[in-house]
Amino acid sequence: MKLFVESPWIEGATEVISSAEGSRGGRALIDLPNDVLPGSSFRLRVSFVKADALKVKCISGKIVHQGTQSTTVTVAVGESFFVEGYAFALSYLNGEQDLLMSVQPGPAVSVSQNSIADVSKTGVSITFWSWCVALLVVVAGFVTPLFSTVDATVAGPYADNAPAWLPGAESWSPGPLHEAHITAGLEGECTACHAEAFEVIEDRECLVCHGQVNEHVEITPVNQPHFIGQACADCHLDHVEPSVLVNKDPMMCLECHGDDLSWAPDAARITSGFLEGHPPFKVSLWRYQQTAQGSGTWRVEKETMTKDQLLVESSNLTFPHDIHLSSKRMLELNDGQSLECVDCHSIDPGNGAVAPIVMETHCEQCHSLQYDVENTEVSVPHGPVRPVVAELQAQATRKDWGQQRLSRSAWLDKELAHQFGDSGCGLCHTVNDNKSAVIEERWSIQPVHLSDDWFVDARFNHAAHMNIPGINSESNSCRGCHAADQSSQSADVLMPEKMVCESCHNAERGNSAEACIGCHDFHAKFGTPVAEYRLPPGKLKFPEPVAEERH
Amino acid sequence: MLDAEPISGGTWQGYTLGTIGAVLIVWLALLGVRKRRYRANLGYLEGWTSAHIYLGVLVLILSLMHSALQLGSINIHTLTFWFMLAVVLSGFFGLYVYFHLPIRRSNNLGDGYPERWAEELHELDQRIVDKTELLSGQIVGEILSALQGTVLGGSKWDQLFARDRSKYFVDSSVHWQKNVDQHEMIVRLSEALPLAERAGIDAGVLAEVFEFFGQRQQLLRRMRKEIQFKALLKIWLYIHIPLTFALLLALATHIFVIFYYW
Repeated sequence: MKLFVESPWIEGATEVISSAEGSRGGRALIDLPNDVLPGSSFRLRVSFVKADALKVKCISGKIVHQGTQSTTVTVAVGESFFVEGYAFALSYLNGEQDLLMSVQPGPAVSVSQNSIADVSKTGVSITFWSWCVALLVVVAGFVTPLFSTVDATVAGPYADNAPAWLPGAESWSPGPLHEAHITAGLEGECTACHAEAFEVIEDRECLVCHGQVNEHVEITPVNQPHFIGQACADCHLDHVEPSVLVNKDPMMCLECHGDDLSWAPDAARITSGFLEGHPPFKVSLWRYQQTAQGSGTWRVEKETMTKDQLLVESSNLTFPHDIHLSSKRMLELNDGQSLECVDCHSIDPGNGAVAPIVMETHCEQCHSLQYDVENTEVSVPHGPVRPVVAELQAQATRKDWGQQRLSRSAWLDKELAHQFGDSGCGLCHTVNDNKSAVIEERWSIQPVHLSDDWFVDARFNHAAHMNIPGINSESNSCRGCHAADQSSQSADVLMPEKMVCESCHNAERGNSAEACIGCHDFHAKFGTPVAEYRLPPGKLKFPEPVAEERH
Repeated sequence: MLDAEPISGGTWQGYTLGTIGAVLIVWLALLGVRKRRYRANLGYLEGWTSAHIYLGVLVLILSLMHSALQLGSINIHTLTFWFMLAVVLSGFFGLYVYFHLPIRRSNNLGDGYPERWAEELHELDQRIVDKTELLSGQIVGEILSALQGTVLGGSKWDQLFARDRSKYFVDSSVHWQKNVDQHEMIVRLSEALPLAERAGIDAGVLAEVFEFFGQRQQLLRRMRKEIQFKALLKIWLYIHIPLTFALLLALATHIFVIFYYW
C-alpha cells in the first residue's frame, strides 16, 4: 500500500508513503516533500488510517474539509480538501492497491469551497464557550469557596492543601472588613461572626469583644418593648463600601426622637437634627441641699441655658477668671505675665476632656498655704477646719516666744482670724463664723463641688476643636467659646450656647452639623449594660410582653 | 424599628430591587428558550424581543441601585454585576448592529442575490480558465494561481474585518505573493497587456481576462462585505450568550452566599 502525490509542477506521481501490505493501520509518517508545492508556506503530514483513508495534519496552516476548518482531518477516497487555495483530491491508483493524492490547480475548485464565510464555523462555538465560562463560575465561584468554608473533617485534605490561587471564602465577602475588625481571630475567619450558616449574626458574637457597652437607655419593663428585637447588626453593618461601622444618619435618631413622641410626651421634639428643633443646651449644675440636721447632699440639676437668663452655679468656690487672665492684675505676682487657660486647664489628648482642677496642682503654686513668714517650711493643710486650727495651735506651741512682740495667745488669735479671714481660706472659700467660744467649732467652710462635665450627655473633644478656623483665629483658642476673661464671678457658667456651635456646625458644613451622634452617645453611660440585658442569648432582662404592640 | 439603615443591598429597598432584578434576569434569559420554540403562542417574538431590550436596560438600572455602587472589590457579588454589565453592553452592541446593518447590507446587495454570488464567481472563474487555454507562458500560471489563491472569509477576525488573504503565485520569484482585493493580479495583467504582441500572446484574449478580473474584483468585494455584515450580526452573541450563563450561575451563587452568611 503506497501513497503517491501528483501535481502539475512535477512529472509523474511521486511515492511518499509506503506501508506493508495487510497492515491497514500502518502509520508510517513522512513529511510531504516541500518541492511538491513550490513556494507554499505550509507542510502536510500524512499517514494511513485505513487502506482507503488518510489522516492529514497541516503544519502552520488550516485545512478546509467538508465546510469546516481544522488542522487535522481524516480524508477518505473520493473526498477532497483545501489548503491555502490548493485543492487536494484522494483517489485510487493501480486498481485499488495504492492511493493517489492529486494537487489540483485550475478551475475544479470554486472560491466558495475553500472559504469559510460563517463565524459560527470558525474557532470555538458559542456552546463550547458557554460551557467553559459556566464551568469556571461553578468551580471557582461556588465549589472551591464552599469547600474552604466547611469543616476540615468534611472537606478532608482539601481545606488545608488548597492552592492559594483558588478562590476561597474570601471571594464571597461582599466588601472589605472595617479596619477595626481587621484583627487576628476575625480577619479571614468568617465563622468568628457568621457562626451558623443561613442564620443572621447573633448579638452574642458581637458581645464576645463588645461586652462592655451599654444599651441606649436603662431598660425597664415599661420601655423594654421599644428595644426588643434590636440586634447589633441592625445598625452596625460591616463589609460595606465605604467601610463605615457607625451609621451617622440623623434619621436613626429622629425615627424615635422626631415627630412621633407618643412614648414620651414631655420630651423635646427634634425635627431635623441639630440645626432645627434641637432644644437649647442644658447645663448640669451641682446643687447643695442642706438637710434639717445640718448636713447636705450634692445632686446634679439640669438647667436650660438661654441668652436672656444667665446661669449661675453654686460650687461655693470664689474664683474670678478675669483677674487671673489679666496681665495688669497679675503684674506683681507673675512677672507681668497673665495666666493662660492651659496653665490650669489641661486637655487629655486621648478623649479631649478637660482635666479637673486640683488645688495642690493648679492653685498652690501662687496661693501658698504657708502662713508664718518666719518659718516658711510650715504650712496649713488644705482640708477640713480642725486640722488647720490644730496646725496653728501646734505652731503657737513650737515657736520661740522669747524674742516676739506678741504673746502666744495673741499671735494665735490673730493668725486664726487671718487664716479664716478674707486673705486666707476666705480668698477662695466661703467661711462661716459663728463666733463660738470653742475655737474648733467657730469656723466652718462651705463644701466646694466643681463640675467636671457641664454637658454630661454630650461628647465634646476639645483637642479636635483646637485647629478649627474660627476658634484658632482668636488670640486664644479657648476664649473663642468660653468668655472667661469677661467673667468676674466664679458662679458664672462659662459654657457656650448652641449658637456658638452653630457658627461652625451650620448648613454649609452638611453632615457635621446634622449627625446627632457627633455629640450624643447612642450607647449611653446610664444605659443597662448589654452583657446584663442581652446575655445569655434569648433571655431578656424582662420577659417579652405579649399584648403590647412592638414599636 | 429603624428604617435609616446604612445603604446596602441588605436593606428592604436592597432586597426588593435585588429580587425584581433577579426575576428579570431569569425572564430575559428565557428569550433564548422562547426564540427556539416556534410553536409557542405566548406573545409574538417581536414583542418578546422588544420587552427584552427595555427590561434589559431596566436590569442595568436596578442592579446599579441594588449594589449601592459598592463595586470596589472583586468578589462573587461584584462579579455578578460585571457579568450583567457585559451581557447588557454586548446586547447594546447587538441592538446597534440590528438597527444599522440591515440597511447597509441591502445597499450592498443591490439587485443581486447573494445566494447566487458563489455560482456567479465560479462561472466567471471558469470563463477565465477557458481563456487561459488560448494563452501561453508564465502569465497562465499566474492567472490560474490567482484564481486558486482567492480566499473569502477565514477566521473570525478575518470575517469581521473583511480581511483579504488572497494570494497568487509568481513564477519569476518562485513564491506566493499577496493579492489583496485582486489588486496585484490586475496590475500584473495591465503590465502584460502592452507587451502581449511581442511575447506572442493574443492581446484580445488577455484583455478579456483583464475585464473578467475587474468583474471578479467587484463581486468579491460585495461578497466580502456580506460576510462581514453576517459576522457582525452574530459575533456579539459570543459574549452575550456565554456570559448570560455565567451571569445566571453567578447570580445563583450570589443569592446563596447572601443567605449562607446572612
